Amino acid sequence: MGGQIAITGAGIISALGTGLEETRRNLLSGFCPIARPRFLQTSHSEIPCAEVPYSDSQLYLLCQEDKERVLPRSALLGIIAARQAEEDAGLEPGCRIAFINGTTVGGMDITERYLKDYQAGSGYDRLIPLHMDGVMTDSIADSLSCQAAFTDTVSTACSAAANAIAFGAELLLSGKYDVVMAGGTECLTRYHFNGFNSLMILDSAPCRPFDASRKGLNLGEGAGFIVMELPGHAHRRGARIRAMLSGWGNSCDAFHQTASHPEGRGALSAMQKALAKAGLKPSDIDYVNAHGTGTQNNDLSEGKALMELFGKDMPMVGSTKCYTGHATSAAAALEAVISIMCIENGFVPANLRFENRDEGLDFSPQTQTVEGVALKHVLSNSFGFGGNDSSLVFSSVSAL
Amino acid sequence: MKKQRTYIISSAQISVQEPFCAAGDFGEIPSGGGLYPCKEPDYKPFVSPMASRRMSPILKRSIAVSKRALLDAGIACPDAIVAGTGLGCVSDTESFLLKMTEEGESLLNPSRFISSTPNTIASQIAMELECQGFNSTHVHDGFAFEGALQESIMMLGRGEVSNVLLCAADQTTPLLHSMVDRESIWKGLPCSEGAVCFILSNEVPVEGAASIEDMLVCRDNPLRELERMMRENEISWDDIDCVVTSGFPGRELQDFPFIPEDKTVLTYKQYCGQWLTASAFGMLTCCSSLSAKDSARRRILLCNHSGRTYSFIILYGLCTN
Repeated sequence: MGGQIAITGAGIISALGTGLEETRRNLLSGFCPIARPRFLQTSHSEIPCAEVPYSDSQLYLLCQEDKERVLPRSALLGIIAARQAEEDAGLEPGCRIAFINGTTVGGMDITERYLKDYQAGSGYDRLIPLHMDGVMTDSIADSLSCQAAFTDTVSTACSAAANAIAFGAELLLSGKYDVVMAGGTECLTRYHFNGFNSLMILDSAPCRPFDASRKGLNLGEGAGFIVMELPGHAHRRGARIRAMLSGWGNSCDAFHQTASHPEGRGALSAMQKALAKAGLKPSDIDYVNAHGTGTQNNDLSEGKALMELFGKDMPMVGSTKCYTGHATSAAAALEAVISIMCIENGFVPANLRFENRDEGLDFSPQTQTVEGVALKHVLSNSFGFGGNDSSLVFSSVSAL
Repeated sequence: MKKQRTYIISSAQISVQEPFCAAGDFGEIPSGGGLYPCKEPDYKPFVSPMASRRMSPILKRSIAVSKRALLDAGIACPDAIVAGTGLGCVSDTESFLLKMTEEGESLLNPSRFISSTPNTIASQIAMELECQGFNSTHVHDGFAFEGALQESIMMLGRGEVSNVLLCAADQTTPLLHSMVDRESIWKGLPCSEGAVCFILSNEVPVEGAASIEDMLVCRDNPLRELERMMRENEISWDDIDCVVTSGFPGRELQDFPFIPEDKTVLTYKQYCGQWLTASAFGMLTCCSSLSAKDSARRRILLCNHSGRTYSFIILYGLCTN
């Protein structure tokens, strides 16, 4: 049996909303924020994405940071979500925590802005280290009222935040830390916007996960963090437990640097490992928050892996990337917080814009939002370039 | 409470030293500034010529040290692959970024972008080995190796796997060197690069090998955190035969003023230069010293420091006569 980890705090910012309340409200109302970029400086301004609706200057105000302290946009987003999470968990100032962040772009937006100055040596040298992922992680940790005694950064492309959360859970079970905050943050950058565009997997319209006519993904941005403790520790300090992290699994396709294995072999194995860790059978899962990017390749291979795992007993399946876009390394963190929210509030958001089933798949995603449903166990999938496949299982407190 | 040890079954390095050579044959590099690139081996035994052409140097080095260390360990496919890299495939990142900055956002070729994410190292190793087990990458700058090591040790400690391939690698391009050779960063230090692989196991090896007793990474309060770990492992300063630091010769204790004065203190960066995951090279050097037949050293404390962060790794020799 795996570890049962209590989740006592959560924070989120994405195109969908800032904070748990706004995010839940917008999910339930079917709000789709995917639109042309307003803040990202790109010549591909016709390609839609899911931007957090604030400029960098507005984000500085939101997180009350001094603009003299130059911070990448991903750090600003991270500070907002991480502060929400520590406040939500009711952690005392100075509380000793481990802080684990999943990211890939780090401070790439700063590098894009100042690269020519760096090359010319024109007085911006102190900003050079901001490029690095770990510097970004530490800048978030430094903005917390908790004391981050240990910080680390995990980067497995689009599953990074899932692996950060899993590593955080293992740190708790090892007894090294009593409280861990884990998740991920990623802002839109010209670098990866162009990278995904050059791969020709960006849809020119809002994405349609699992639909037969799907044309690709929309990039998004945001940050999500959760506070985790062993249940005994949470009970002793009288913390409210929102949900449990009951399983986590990681496998590698070992197939191709960007394409998923056609039968979803790594995806299947990651889900099986997560279920085994949680001590659950596939039939125990009530809802799958799928990776569901909207690309032909991902949705077909993930769908096949789901068919192999669940057979005829397919639970509700849906992707929330039709709301948040694909926030790459932060995606798993946004979806972890959304999964927790679904369990606590008893709802499953609709997989928007699905019309026709893919001929390779024998199931359809949830097309209507359902409320008033008791979710005991939710499986959240995150798959990255390099075949880095990870799954997390979240469970309701009463299910255990 | 004594903790379970992690055994280092084999290791391999590509660095400014001769490829795969043993620590006993390391020679010192000049102590001043400059860029000291890796000495490359013949990659034919490790990577097909076709794959070799499209791979950046950091990928080739990482795959070569991984295959070499697996061969020495007698393991075909590890249970898990964990990588540590400060800046990942930086030559690919640089190439895509410069093309985008200089030539605009149209007509970009995705191949450099694809291989620029840091997890390319661990996933390419997995593809080469057809290893579908656990696969993750830590990128916490100067402590990326320590994060990867921490995860490996916990996985082995919980018995979920019996061996782990741990690979640490960083690359320094001329452009990157020109940017880090600045006043506030690494000015005046010999900058280098490298790839180091360890095969770790939770099973006691038949032949003598070094082991890791415990490790920690902490921000602030280094002495308090270190002594807490030593107490947990029932180790006193008297039990530590030698301290190895991330400083350069002559500045061994610059960042570690709390190390007792009577300790023997050594360094490794005179052999490998400065790079973000150089502490992996440091651990390889320590392992070699501990497993030497005539070694008088049984226990080494390996220390790394950057900014507010410190790491401490306690290494123990299994077979010292």
